[in-house]
Amino acid sequence: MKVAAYHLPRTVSGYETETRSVGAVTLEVPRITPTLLTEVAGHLEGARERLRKRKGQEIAEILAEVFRRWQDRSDLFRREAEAALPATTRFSPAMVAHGLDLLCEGYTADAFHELLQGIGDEEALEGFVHLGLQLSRAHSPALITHVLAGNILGIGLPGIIAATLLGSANLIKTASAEPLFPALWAASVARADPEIGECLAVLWWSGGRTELESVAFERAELVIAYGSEQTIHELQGRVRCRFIGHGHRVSFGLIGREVLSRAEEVADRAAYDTSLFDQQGCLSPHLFYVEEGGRVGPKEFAELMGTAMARWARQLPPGPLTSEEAARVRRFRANYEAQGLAGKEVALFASTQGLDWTLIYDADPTFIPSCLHRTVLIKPVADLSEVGDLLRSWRPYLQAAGVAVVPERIGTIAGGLGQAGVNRICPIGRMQVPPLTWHQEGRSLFRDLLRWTDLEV
Amino acid sequence: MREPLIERVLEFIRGTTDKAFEGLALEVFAFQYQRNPAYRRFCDRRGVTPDTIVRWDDIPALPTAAFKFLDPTCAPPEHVFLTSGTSQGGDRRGQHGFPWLDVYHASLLKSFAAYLLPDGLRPRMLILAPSPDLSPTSSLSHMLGVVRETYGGEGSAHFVGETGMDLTRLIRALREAESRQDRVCLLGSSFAFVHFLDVCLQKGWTFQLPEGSRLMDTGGFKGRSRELSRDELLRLYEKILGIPEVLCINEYGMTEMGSQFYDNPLKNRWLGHSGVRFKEVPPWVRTRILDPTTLEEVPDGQVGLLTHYDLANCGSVLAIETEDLGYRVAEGFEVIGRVPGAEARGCSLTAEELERRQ
Repeated sequence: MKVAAYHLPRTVSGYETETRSVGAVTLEVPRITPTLLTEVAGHLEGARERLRKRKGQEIAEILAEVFRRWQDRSDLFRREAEAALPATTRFSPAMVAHGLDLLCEGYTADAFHELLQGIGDEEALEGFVHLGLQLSRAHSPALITHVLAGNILGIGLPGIIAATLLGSANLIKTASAEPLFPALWAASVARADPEIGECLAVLWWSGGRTELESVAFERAELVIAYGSEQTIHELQGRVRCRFIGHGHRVSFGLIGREVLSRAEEVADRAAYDTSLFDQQGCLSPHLFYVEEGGRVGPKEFAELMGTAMARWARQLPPGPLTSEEAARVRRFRANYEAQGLAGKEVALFASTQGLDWTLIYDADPTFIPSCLHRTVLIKPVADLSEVGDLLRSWRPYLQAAGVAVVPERIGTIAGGLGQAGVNRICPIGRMQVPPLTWHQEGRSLFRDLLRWTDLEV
Repeated sequence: MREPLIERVLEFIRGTTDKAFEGLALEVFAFQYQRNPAYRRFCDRRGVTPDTIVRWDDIPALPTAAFKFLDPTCAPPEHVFLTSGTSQGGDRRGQHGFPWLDVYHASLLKSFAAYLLPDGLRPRMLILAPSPDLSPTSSLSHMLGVVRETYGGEGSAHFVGETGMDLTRLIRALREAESRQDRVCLLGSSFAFVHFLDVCLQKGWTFQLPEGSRLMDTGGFKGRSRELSRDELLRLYEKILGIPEVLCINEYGMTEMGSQFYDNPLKNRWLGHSGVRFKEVPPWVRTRILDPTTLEEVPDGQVGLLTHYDLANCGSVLAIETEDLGYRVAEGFEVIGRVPGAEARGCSLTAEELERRQ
């Protein structure tokens, strides 16, 4: 099948396209030149002048409608996405369908409304208002360049949506691993409201083409980039405007002894969080700390979670592994199996056929990142309050902690995790569905986008 | 007095017996299963005992990672070698003890002679690696030491000392070889060669070593030199040393194994055979290429994990699952290399990414 993996304002014309094959899918993309990109940036900036005159609330209603239509599995865009995304993302078809449902679930009119509340005084976008000890006016960037990375569906979307609500135009450079969903989404927005569609451009080029990136970075007032620490560092060096980098992160979980009275249920939710997106996301847990002294011990919990991992592997099958990825999982398993054979307190629970899932019980509580692809470690702690110290050297990389404890303990535990550098604490089973208003990496979405001018009279 | 089985393995390696590989491999497996409690537990977990299998390829292959945590030996070792300790499992180094060094030596000498010295030459050996005295736990140093002692001609020497490579002495030896028309054999790790070639490139030095001079390199670059493709390296060997491709032999070996594999072109040329370059498998070894997901043998030409069944490992574990990817070529294979670290497909941090940063 052939799919257009790009979106351009309708006013841009006269470009040639080329194709790129990923498995059975042929992706059509424009042949991008610095001239074309300059033209696109000009169109986006022009179109945004019309968009900024519209109310955020009105744009929110339209975007919410777009996501409602995406929930309909017979919708044209949804059907195209379900057919093509397994090839580009290497997630199984069931995972793609489930991932799209999850994505839509969070993007509602209410969520957009809450997000808009975050600006505080929306009038500040239209003129100077009293704010603090002076008059202040907020400016939304005319053009934001987004550099996306990785195969997680909808990565970068919160920033794009927030920018659109503020009346900014978005130039979106998609990732090689997932060049398609943003393009389909932008086209679906244009279908619902052509004027908003004119403020979106979705393009793919192979990262590092500096002649293109210098245009994309110079025209933007803000660059938001995703990627490895190395990529972020490298991009930041080439950007002269404001820059927000989202590097790779690790997440994990905590399970209190009291909730182990319903260990099966907790294990099921922990297995779901781990299996989702084949554990590739920054919200995917690498390990779970399980408190001793509950109805079942940490090791028994590991065994229960293994059963649950197997169940999720049937319900949301893992995508195919490359030989390198499979070999890395083998190596990870081999390392732990050998430790167990050598008499260390380590146990390996894993799918017997193939590498669908791997669960390792390791009595050593040191925080160890997993090799991913549904490989998770269970580590015992005598008390959850010990976890803060174990996280110390990971502080710059911590993202979310999934927590299953009795309500009386959540305050203390959340306080400790926040101190340790965690920016999101959520129930286990909800780790992969952050609310739109999440302070990702400890920052506020709208405040990062806006630029302020103060006036003292 | 050691087991008669070990004598029979030795005879098999030396080629003085016509016993079949399979029978001997199964006997060695039974011996190791009995002698080695850690390996026995590994086999039991897989439901395999000497009584349940009748084929050599059903012998459970122990991952090389296990050498970092278990003692794989079946008898008190005469000598213990350590791996260089790269990535995964932190800086923990694997260890491999050899209870019977004569079996190890029989294997390494026979292969080396077949693939580097098929013409019976006893060349002056110029070794770009530390001597066994300097680096007693390195299996490569040990092997090159034994090779030098057995086959090295007059003036053979090591050129890597405590303070690194002795370039002055090496250059002198190479110039001598040129002027006396004395054929040499250069031996060493790939990164040592790259280091040397880079100096030559920088200084504009070239050599025209006498015809029949040859070279053996081994191992990856391990971040100790720039990385070159095989083709690029072969081109430089010819350009700077004057040794043609056919006489440049790559060896593939590991601390966890008593046997090694060599490129075949030099041997083929001597025997008058034609054919593609690949790593040949000695008669006392079998190599399978397994799909890392299923551990089933891959179709010919497809990439998989190299898994070796090596009778020279009779003192430890015969069946070894490596972390090296490769593919079958004719009756042998080609190595792609150690499974590299990688970034996640998504936005999660990986251990490898973090290690690279540190």
